[in-house]
Parts: sequence; structure tokens; C-alpha cells
Amino acid sequence: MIPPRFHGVALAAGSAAGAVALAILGLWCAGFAPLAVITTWCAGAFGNGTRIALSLQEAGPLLLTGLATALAFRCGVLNVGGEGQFLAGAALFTAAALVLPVVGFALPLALGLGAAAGAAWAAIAAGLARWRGVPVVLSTILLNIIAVAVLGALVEGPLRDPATTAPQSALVADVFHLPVLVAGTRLHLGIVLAFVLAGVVWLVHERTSLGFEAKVIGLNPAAALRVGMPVAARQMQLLVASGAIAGLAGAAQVAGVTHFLSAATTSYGYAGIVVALLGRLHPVGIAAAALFMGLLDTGGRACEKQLGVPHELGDVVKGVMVLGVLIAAAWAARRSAAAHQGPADG
Amino acid sequence: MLPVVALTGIRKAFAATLALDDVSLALAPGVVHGVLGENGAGKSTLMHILFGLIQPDAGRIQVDGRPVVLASPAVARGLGIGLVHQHFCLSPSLTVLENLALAVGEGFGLVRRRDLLAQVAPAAAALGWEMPWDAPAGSLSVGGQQRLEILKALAGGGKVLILDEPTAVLAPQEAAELLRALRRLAATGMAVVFISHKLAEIESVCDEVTILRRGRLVHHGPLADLDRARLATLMVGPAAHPAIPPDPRPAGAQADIRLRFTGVSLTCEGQRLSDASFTVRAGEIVGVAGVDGNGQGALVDAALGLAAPTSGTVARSGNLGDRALAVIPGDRRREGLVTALSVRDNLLLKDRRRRPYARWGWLAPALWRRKAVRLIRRFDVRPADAGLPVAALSGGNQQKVVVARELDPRPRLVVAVNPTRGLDLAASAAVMDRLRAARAAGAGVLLVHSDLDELLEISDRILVCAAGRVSDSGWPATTRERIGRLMLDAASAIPTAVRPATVRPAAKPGDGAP
Amino acid sequence: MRSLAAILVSFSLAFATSVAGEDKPLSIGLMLPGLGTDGGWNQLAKVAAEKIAKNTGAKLAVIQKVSQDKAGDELRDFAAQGFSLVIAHGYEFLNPAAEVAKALPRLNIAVSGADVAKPGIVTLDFDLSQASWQVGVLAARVSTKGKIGYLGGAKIPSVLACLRGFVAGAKSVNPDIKVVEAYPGWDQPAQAKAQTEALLRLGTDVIFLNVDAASRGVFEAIREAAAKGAKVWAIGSCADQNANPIAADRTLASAVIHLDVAFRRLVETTRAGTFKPGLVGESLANGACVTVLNPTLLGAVITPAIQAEVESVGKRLAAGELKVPPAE
Repeated sequence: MIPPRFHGVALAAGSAAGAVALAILGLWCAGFAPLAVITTWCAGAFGNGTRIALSLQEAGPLLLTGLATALAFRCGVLNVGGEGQFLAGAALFTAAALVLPVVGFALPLALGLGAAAGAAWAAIAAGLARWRGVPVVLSTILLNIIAVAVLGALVEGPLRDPATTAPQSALVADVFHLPVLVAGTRLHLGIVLAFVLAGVVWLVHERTSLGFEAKVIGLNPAAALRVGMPVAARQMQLLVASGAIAGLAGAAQVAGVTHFLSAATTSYGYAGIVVALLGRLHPVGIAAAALFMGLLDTGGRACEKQLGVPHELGDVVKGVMVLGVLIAAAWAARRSAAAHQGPADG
Repeated sequence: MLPVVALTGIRKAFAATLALDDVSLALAPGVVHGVLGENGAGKSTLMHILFGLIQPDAGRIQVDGRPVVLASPAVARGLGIGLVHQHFCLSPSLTVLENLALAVGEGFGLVRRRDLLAQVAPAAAALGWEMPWDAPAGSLSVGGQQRLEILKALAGGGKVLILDEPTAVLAPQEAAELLRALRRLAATGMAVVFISHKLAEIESVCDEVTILRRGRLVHHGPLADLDRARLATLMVGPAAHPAIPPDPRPAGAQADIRLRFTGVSLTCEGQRLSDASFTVRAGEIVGVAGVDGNGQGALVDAALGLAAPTSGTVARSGNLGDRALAVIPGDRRREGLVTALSVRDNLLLKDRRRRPYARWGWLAPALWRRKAVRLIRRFDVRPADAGLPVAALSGGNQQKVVVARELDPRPRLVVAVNPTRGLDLAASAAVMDRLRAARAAGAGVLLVHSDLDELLEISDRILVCAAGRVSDSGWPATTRERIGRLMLDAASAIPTAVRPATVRPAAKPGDGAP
Repeated sequence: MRSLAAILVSFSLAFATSVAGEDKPLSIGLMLPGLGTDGGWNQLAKVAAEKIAKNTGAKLAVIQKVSQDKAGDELRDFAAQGFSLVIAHGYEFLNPAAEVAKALPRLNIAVSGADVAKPGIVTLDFDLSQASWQVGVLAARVSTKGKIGYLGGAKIPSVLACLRGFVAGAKSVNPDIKVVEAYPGWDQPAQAKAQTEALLRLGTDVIFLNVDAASRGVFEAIREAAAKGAKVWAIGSCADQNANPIAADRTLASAVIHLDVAFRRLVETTRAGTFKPGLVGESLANGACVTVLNPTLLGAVITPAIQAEVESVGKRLAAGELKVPPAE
């Protein structure tokens, strides 16, 4: 038997394994030999240093947006606006990098501005919820759409590289690049910082009054109110903090990987929701989920390149995985509810 | 006369709580049978057994003299037993007739409109109802939806119709009309079971009554033999202890005021409280009696500062989260505990930012553990495992966790709502003792409780909450009967008796139909 | 566990070295920003690349939905696997490609759809504005009402350049002609249909469309108007839309980007070792962006005189005698 505290882990791992098995089965039916798929996938995902670096590089932003999503979800705020907050962070970072003087502390300053932009973007949703009663899940998803439009306007207008008509900014100066850790890859310092941040979030969750309050508010806001927790205020604070992390993810992606901004968006913010749910909102789980998604993406890319496996299949696997986790979680919740059912009233 | 349905010696326990103990019920055709009792008396459990929703632990059920097992609502319906729930189960976007088709439809069989109408229209006509057959069910008034529910229950060719507190949702005129319809139904030879705790309604419509108290049958017989005072007495029970409260009031009228309502009015989640004024002083337990839903919810939320009054003021010692203010909420799983978290975490919910359990925002797990172990021992929480999730505890032990957290060490004001609901005798007694101890230690206690016996046993004064108004019952210088009448009279607003004096039950079935 | 990893590593190494062998056919990669089934930009490239691969016997690998974040690493990976040429089909790949190009001297990299030269990279700059001039001439000749319409996906530079070409071409035939524009978005057929209907109500009778998946809506509106007896025409763009299944008989011509022409040139220069980095203007002159008249309408609708005029204008544009006016 699996001890109860690892049920969540088993659940997530099980649904991930099930989804992968389903995908391999599906590919087999489509005429791809399972062994070839598995070996190509493994070699592609972690077969050599470059591929491992690539998987890690993909995991970095996912880890950050996953942490951001979980921070809000855990206290019962459905912030699905990671995408908009990510883009806000990326945009303000790029703008800052293009206008700030090239001095020593410019990079941390610009990264901080990116985080602040994400926080501000989330604060709009917080304000709408606080003063207008707009559900956060609604406002954040709409703010995503607005962010994409604003980004498009920025890279076609004030931020556009004058050398091109394409909707993209110029490259930011070298001083605004996060240092690369392994030459010949894009494995940058930001990835390490993301894992450090995961550890910090874990500490806050497990060891601080704030983390404890967030957990209680998320699990039972009515009880939280009655032991004197400022439920609404705390939720809004954590929503803004969540936006800051997503904004930092966007800034770090420009600083560490792309070095410019374009209208083509990457959906790391949306993927963060998947990562957070798959990681069961726990920092360690999220780190594992981000790594898994990174491996899935890189390995899937190798299968695509070498075997001609359709790209859509990787997306299907991700979808099946999340569905699996959600179904399993609902099932577990129902079982525990049934086990603790009390006497009928009357 | 041979009863349509007879239940004999029914017994049902939920975990440690005995919900029904040796209860019998016989329903005769043409008779409206009232089932009375306070909240938690076992009325709903009995009706759920009669409708096949739950199975009794012991006892016999006979329909038309033959023993049966009501394994499911489908079986009950097949035997002609219909139940109208307090909450409607309609598809609002389907028409009235389509909803009836759903109730009648068997398997995948097709239902023809003409056949269906032929089946249900006479029943509606007999009741004097004009049903808009093709209107969406959602467009009907509450009374209209209830009529539809009744037609649904009758659609299978019913012999017994059970209505669970049917007037709770109706306006007075609608309620009066419903009661008239029930008389007509009975006149056609139906056995009608009418559940209520509104005395006036019972008096106006019922032929016979069964009265339950704490899962036991306390009276069974024709209504005509009882007057209203006797009914009230039976329902709230004889004085268990003839004496005035056993504990002398330790504090005089000069003790500190811990909670003061001055002309407080508010509406909160559909419940209204009008112009409530009272005080709770240090060293006294002030009980609030009343039938559920008469404004107690609004009163408690206002007392805790969870809802702001629209007029009037509330002054209280301490705020939520303070040691000074202890809250024992009515729904411990929803409002008092985080069931997914450990006993330890639940015991220290109010210490999360208090030294030495937290310093500079950092928690001190070792101290948490030590305090949890101490409280578990002191309040006898079982099993004595601080790491266990609260969800794994029994109801009584969950309540002990709430009580331990709130009453340790020395609150100035305690607000407790139904603190013994769902607990067995030993656990109830333990909780009541803790409240007494808090009073002895100088706390003012506001105890909102639907169990009048327990209230009488522990309260120094008793307020009655009825139809949103709070009045002082005068306890201890009054009788339980008077308190019972205060609770019930205001709760029933049926203006006129609807039972036609000329139509006596089961005399000539069919006579009464217009 | 360790042995499994060892096997996998050795497998991947074996794979990499085997591809780099000498007598192997040319390996080319195509990197798409979206899905190859999008009915537009990505699909055109995928179809063109597959056609070239088949004709030249090259081995083709396509990777889809690549973002600028991973483009550089994917190029490195293509190089590591011994690919000779990668076509990165999107302007957003230009910067990442430029960043890695220096480190990958044996890989030829072409970025299509961009307009800036970068060291070590071929930039394919597709310019439909000259072909737009040609269809402007055609539209003005066929129009009987002196009013024609232009429907673009969005007001971006390339779409506006086509508009300038279209207007200049039309005015060169009929200085009084009116051109009405609308921008209903790239992928919403319903909006495009509504906008087309609006343009037709305004009295236009030839509509030049420059939208992706929204084309369907334009053709539907044209077909429905034609069914009611209106003499209205469409002109397609990017892909050859002359044989579209909705209103082929009402489609005069298409301003076509022949990606396969551009791609074939890349493959051939790679094979011959003459691949030369720089900005390549893909236009009328090198046959990559041309006007294709609907062959079924030649004669009655597109008279030989009109056909000859369109062709001669095309020659003058290619020769530089006529120039599309630049943006203000």
C-alpha cells in the first residue's frame, strides 16, 4: 500500500504514465513502432547534454508559471491569467532593456520591472474582484486576450525594430542577457533561479504564517473567516504575488532565451495551469511536472523530427494527462467524502 | 380499518446516534396524518425510510397488509408511495407535461401526450387545479411548482402522499390553498402524511398526529383529543428536570456586558432579523430558542461581525480570531474546521500569528505539536493523534477539536450554535460541560440551539427567535410550554382553519371533491 | 537503470553519426511557427517543401509549432544531426537564427517571411505588391462600376504594400476608379463574409482578398451575390485560389507566392555549394510572387487584350520600369 501522504504523487504519476501509455498505443495503431518511439523519445528528451539542457530550458518558464498559478489556486483564487501576466512581464522587461542605460544593476532592475508588470496586470483583476465583484477566473482570462492584443500593438508600434516591418522588437543589449551556464546551449541562470524560487515557495507554504493562512483559506474560506483570517485581502495579495511570478517568468524568458519580443506568443502562461494541476499545487510536484513537460516537449520534438510523428500528439498527451489528474482527484474526493459521511439530518 | 401502510418497531442508527428508536406509524386511507417534532426528532429519517431512501436497522413495513422491503424509491413508488421533497426536483426548461412524462416514463418507452394528459388531468381537476400544461416548469410560481411536484408524486397512481414541510417555502395564501388541496386529496381516499412543526397548520388540516421526540414516538392518535398547549408540550417534551436551572447564576446583573445588540436589523442569506435588542453579560449563558430559519443565522452573523446590520449597533468583546471571542459554529465541517488538515493544524488555527507559535511570520512546528498534544489530552480527543486529518475523526471528536481550540484558555465571549447537533449523549454532555466551565470562568455565552431540552438545562436566560423577532421568554420565571408556544405561534402564520367541519376523514371517500 | 541510459545515449550517437554519412541524400528541415494544417502560411510551406523533397530526392523533416524561444536550439539540433539546409518559415526565427548561425557553419539557414539581412542567413522577403499591381490592372479592366474592393487580414506593412500596388495598378488603367478597403481579420470566415457583403452593397464588383482561412467567407459572399445575378468577381492571394471549391467560376486570378520556386532555389544552391547569405527579394522578377490568371475565364471574361496588358505590365514591373509607391 502507498502511504496516504503520497497518494497525490501516485495520482499524478499514474495519470502521466497512463497518458504516455495511451499515446504510445495510439502511435502504434497509427503505424509507429513503439520501441522506436520510446528510444527516439528518450534520446531526444535526455539522450545527451544538449537535449537535457533543452528540456531544462523548457521546464524553466513552466516551473515559474506553474508556481504562479499554484500560489493563487492554493488560496482559492482561480488566476488563469498567467499568460497575460507573463506577456506583461516580457513586454515591460523588453521596453526597459531598450531604454534603460547600460549599467551594472540594469538587469536586476529590468527583471524587477517585469515582475512588477505581471503584478500590476494581476492587480487589475484583483481590483475588479474587490470593487466590482468580477470573478477572477473571468477577468484574468479576458485580461489574457487584452495582453495579447496590447503586445501586438506594442511590437507593431513603439517597440518595433525600425530595421524590419515584422512585428518584433530589436534585440536587447548583452547586459540584459541572463548568463548562459553551459556554452553551446541556452541553459541560463534563470532556470536555476526558478528552482530556487520553487524552494522558497515551498518554505513559505510549509513554514510561514502566510503559507498556512493561504492553505486554510483555499481549503475552507468559511472556517478561515471565523478564525479571523482576512480572507479577501489575503486572496488578493496572493493573486498579485502570483502575477509577479508570472511576470518574472516572462521577463526571464526574454532575458535568458529570446532576447527580443515578438507578436508570436508561446502560451507558457496557459501551460502553467497544466503544470500546477499536474503538480497538485505543491512546489515539489510542480517542479517535477515542469521537468516532465519539458522532457515531453523535447522528446516529442525529436520524434517529430526523426520519425514524423505528428506534433498534435504531444498536445493530446498533455490534455489526457490533465484530464486524468482531474478525474482521479474528483474520484478521490468523492471517495473520502463517502467515507466520512455523517448521519442524515432529521 | 386496515392501514394502507404500517411501519412497526422501526429503528435506525447513524454511527453512534440513534435517529429512530422503536417507532411505529400506521396510515389509513382518507386520513391526513401529521408528523410533528423538533429539528432532529427523526421525522425526515422516518419519511426517508417510508420512501425507500434509507433502510431501517430493525422493524417491519407492511403495505396493504403484506410485508415489503422498500429497497429503493422506485420500489416505494411502485407500491403507490409518493414523496414531495422540501426542495423541488424539476427540470425548469421542460414544460409541465414533459416533467410529468419524466416522472411517469418507464425505461425507454414513448409517452403519448394524449395518454399522459388522460392520466394526469383528472387528478389535477379533482384538486381544482388549472395547470398550464405547456408552460415551462421554471415559469411557474413556487406554489405552482409544488402542485407539479404533487402531481408527479400522484402520477404513478399513488395511495400514499408524503409532504416534507411543504408550507416552508410558500406564502400564507399559497399555504392555505395547499392545505385545502390536501383535504380534497384525503377525501378521494388517499393517505396523506403532512410533516410540519407549525402548530396552526397541523391543527387546521390533520386528522391524526404522530409526535416524535429525539427519535422516539411520544404520541400517536387523533388530533381531536389534543389541545394546542398539549401539542406543544408533547413536541418539546415534558420537563426533564422539574427544577429551574441547576446552576445558580454566578454573576449578578451588574457583571460586564460582553455582547450588546441595540435595535439591530439585517437580512442575511434570506433570513431577517428585526430590531433585536439584548445583552449577554459575563458569567451567564443566554440561550436562543427557535425553530430553524427564524432569524438565528442573521443574529449569529451579526454577533460575530460577519454581517453588518442595516440599522442598530452590535458591541462585543473581541473580534474574530481573538482569544477573547470563541466561536463554535453551527456547521463544524463547513465553518469550524479544515477537515483536510491535521488535528494539530486545526487546534492552532488561531495561533498562526501568535507568539511563541509564530515569530516574524515563521511557524514553530515543535511548539505546535506540544500544544496540540496538550489540548488533545485535556479535551479528550480520540484517537489522540495530532497528525491525523480531522476528516478521519468522528463527529463528536471533531466538535471536541473546535471546542478545544475556541475555549482554551479563557474566552470573554462564546458564541455557540447547535454545539451538540449530531453528537451522541456522552459527547453532548462533554460539550455542555465545557460551556458551563467557560461560564464559571467568567465568559458570557450566547447559545443558539434548536434542542430546547438542552437549552433549558443550561441557560440562565432564554431568548426566543421567531419570524425574525427576538423576545425574552422570561425564563427561568416561566414554563417550557410558554417557550414552546412563543417559538411555534410566531412560526405559523396560517390565518384560517381550512378543515371543513362537515367532511370527517374517511367517512365517505370522494364526497369532498368539488 | 544506468545500462538503459547508456544504451539510449549510444543509440542517439549512432543515429547522429549515421546521418552525417556522405552518400546520403540531402537532408532538409522545415521549421514552422504553427501547425502544418492551418490552411495558410504554414500549410503552404509544408506542401511546397514536401513537393521539393519529392522532386529532388531530399530527405525532409518538419517540426511544427516552434516558438522563437526554441528556434535557436532546434537549429543547433538540426546541425548536430547532419542536416544541410533548414528553412525557418517565420519572421520571428530571424533573430534566433542569426544568433546561432556563426556557430553552425555547415548548416545553411534560410528564414522566410522576414525583411532584414543578417550575417550567415538567407532572408526570403516575399513581396506580393507587384503582383497586386497586376491584379489591380485586371480588376479595373473587368469592373463595370468603377468601384473595387480590397479585403486584408490586418493593417500590417505587407498587407498595406499590396494595397498600394493594387491601387496603383487600378489607377493606371482608370484614374477615377474608387478602391474601398476593409480588414476583417485573418481567420474568421463569418466576419470576412459580412465585410464582403458590405463592400458589395457599397457598389464594388471586384474584390481582391488578402486573408488566410477567412477566404471561405469572401468566396461564399461572392457566390451568393452572383447567384442573385450580380456580376461580381473575386481575386485571391498567397495560394493559387483559382480553383477554390466555392466560387471558382467567379475568381478572376490569384496573386500567388510560389514558395516551391523559392525553396527549390535554396535546395539547388545548397547542393551546388553556392548558397549565399543575404536578403533575397522574392518578387515578380524571380518568379516567386506572380499573378496567375484563372484559365477557365480566359477569353470571354478576361479577353486576350486584358491578358496581354496584365502580362506586359508584369514585364515592366519586373524590369523596374514601374515601381510600387513606398509607404508614406
